[in-house]
Amino acid sequence: MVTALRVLITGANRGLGLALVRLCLQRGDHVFAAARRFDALEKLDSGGRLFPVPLDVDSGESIAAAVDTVREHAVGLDLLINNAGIFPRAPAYASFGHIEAAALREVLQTNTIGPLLVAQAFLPLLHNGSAARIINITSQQGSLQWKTRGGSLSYSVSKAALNMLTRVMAAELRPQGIIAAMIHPGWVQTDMGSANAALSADQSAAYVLRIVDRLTLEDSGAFFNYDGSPHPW
Amino acid sequence: MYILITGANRGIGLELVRQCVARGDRVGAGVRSGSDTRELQKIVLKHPDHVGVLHLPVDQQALVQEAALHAAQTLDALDVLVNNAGINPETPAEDTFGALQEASVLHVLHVNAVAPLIVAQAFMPLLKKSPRPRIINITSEMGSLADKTYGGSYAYCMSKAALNMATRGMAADLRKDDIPVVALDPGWVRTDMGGPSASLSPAESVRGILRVIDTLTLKDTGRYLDYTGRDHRW
Ligand SMILES: NC(=O)c1ccc[n+]([C@@H]2O[C@H](COP(=O)([O-])OP(=O)(O)OC[C@H]3O[C@@H](n4cnc5c(N)ncnc54)[C@H](OP(=O)(O)O)[C@@H]3O)[C@@H](O)[C@H]2O)c1
Ligand SMILES: NC(=O)c1ccc[n+]([C@@H]2O[C@H](COP(=O)([O-])OP(=O)(O)OC[C@H]3O[C@@H](n4cnc5c(N)ncnc54)[C@H](OP(=O)(O)O)[C@@H]3O)[C@@H](O)[C@H]2O)c1
Repeated sequence: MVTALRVLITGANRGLGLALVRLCLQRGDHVFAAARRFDALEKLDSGGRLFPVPLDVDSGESIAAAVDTVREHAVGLDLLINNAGIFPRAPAYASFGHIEAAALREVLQTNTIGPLLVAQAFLPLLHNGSAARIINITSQQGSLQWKTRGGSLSYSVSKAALNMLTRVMAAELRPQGIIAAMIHPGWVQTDMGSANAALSADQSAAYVLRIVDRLTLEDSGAFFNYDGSPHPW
Repeated sequence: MYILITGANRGIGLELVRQCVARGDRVGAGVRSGSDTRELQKIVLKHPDHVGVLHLPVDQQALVQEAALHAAQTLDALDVLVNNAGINPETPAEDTFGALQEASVLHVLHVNAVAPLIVAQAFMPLLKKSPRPRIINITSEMGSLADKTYGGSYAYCMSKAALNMATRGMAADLRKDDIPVVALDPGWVRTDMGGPSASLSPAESVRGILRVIDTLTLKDTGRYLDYTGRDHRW
């Protein structure tokens, strides 16, 4: 039996984020669903445990306002899942020979700086949580060892930087009892992963939560494949 | 050979210019407006036929592309590109969780990880004209995820891990053009960045870097090496 958690999930209105919200609600967690839109979340059967939190991770102001919104309802957070992310595939983002610095910055802003600012802003609430965990949803595409094919440049670069961010946070927050880890959620049937992907969003979310539930401070800083095995750097 | 070095007016970049010129290579030395180029100009004065100074502010794509177009008019080919320019500002805005500032972190990511891609891309036409082109991205051991078991230096570590990934991506993309791309950790070097207590002189580090450059083949592409030529853990 797992005790109910106070969870905040970014990018909560579709894809993996929405599936994570659904699963957390089912098992009794209190869910702060952070998103830019709420149309899909509004349809969920929430049992009064779903709290919509307007959040654009590209905006420092929006992040600060989101912290205030959460504080109205809770004094602490037990789990933060940085899930929001983008994977633009136009040549300016993806293909060597066509890369625009501004495009790469845009992806770094959302996929790397976003999780950094969100974690930093919610740290005081996480300090008030019990065995607080920060999960950064990364990707196999952010694995240096795995990266032997070209393309997807901005996305891969942003996820490798996110992985390093997670490592530094893990080392620094460990003495404070806060766990930080990164998870590759598998290839998932979402707008990003396409309908051809291997896992349904619900399956992937279940894998992610299984890892989350078993995390200890010793695991802090680890890079997990969705099945719980260690992912190569 | 013709070698282009970014951030060539001090530190490791300047020493690279020195050793390359001393052995007869031709050097393009990248600087930006505001760079203190006094030491570099001394070398230029002595070897005007071997060193050309380029205006290469690596975080400004339009100016980088302009410099590349300009170079294409005067050069036959570029054999080696060393993406050496880098920053490690070490203020709380880049280093300290709780005080991290988005603009500061993004700037370090831009200079250290985005710019090398942009510079390589801009000089690709000249590199492709070389019989043996090579790209060396100067990274750091602080970009190693495996070794990062201590806190601090957020922006710098993130940027060098990102640069390592940019190196992997470029290596994969440029394999078809027979251009090896590697990430090279120069060691801890006594420069403005490394500080006076660092373990290596610039001369020692650069001797190692040049050995790696000279022996680099397509078999090495995508590797993360240190200045002695050994593989670094990711
Ligand atoms: N799908 C896969 O196969 C796969 C594989 C590996 C890793 N991942 C990672 O898993 C995570 C979720 O991906 P997904 O497949 O669910 O992608 P998705 O279907 O494209 O959904 C992306 C989510 O991120 C949100 N988002 C994007 N930019 C945002 C911003 N600036 N502020 C707030 N929210 C923002 C989106 O919100 P809006 O609806 O408002 O746009 C959306 O909820 C991402 O981090 C992704 O990189 C996915
Ligand atoms: N020293 C070490 O111990 C050490 C260890 C590991 C890795 N590294 C790496 O080695 C490389 C060289 O470091 P270093 O020790 O020689 O550093 P340094 O002495 O601080 O010199 C840095 C050089 O980069 C240039 N630069 C910075 N930003 C630039 C920009 N936007 N456009 C163009 N040039 C720019 C500087 O030009 P200005 O003079 O105009 O500022 C300077 O020439 C860096 O990539 C660094 O990360 C150094």
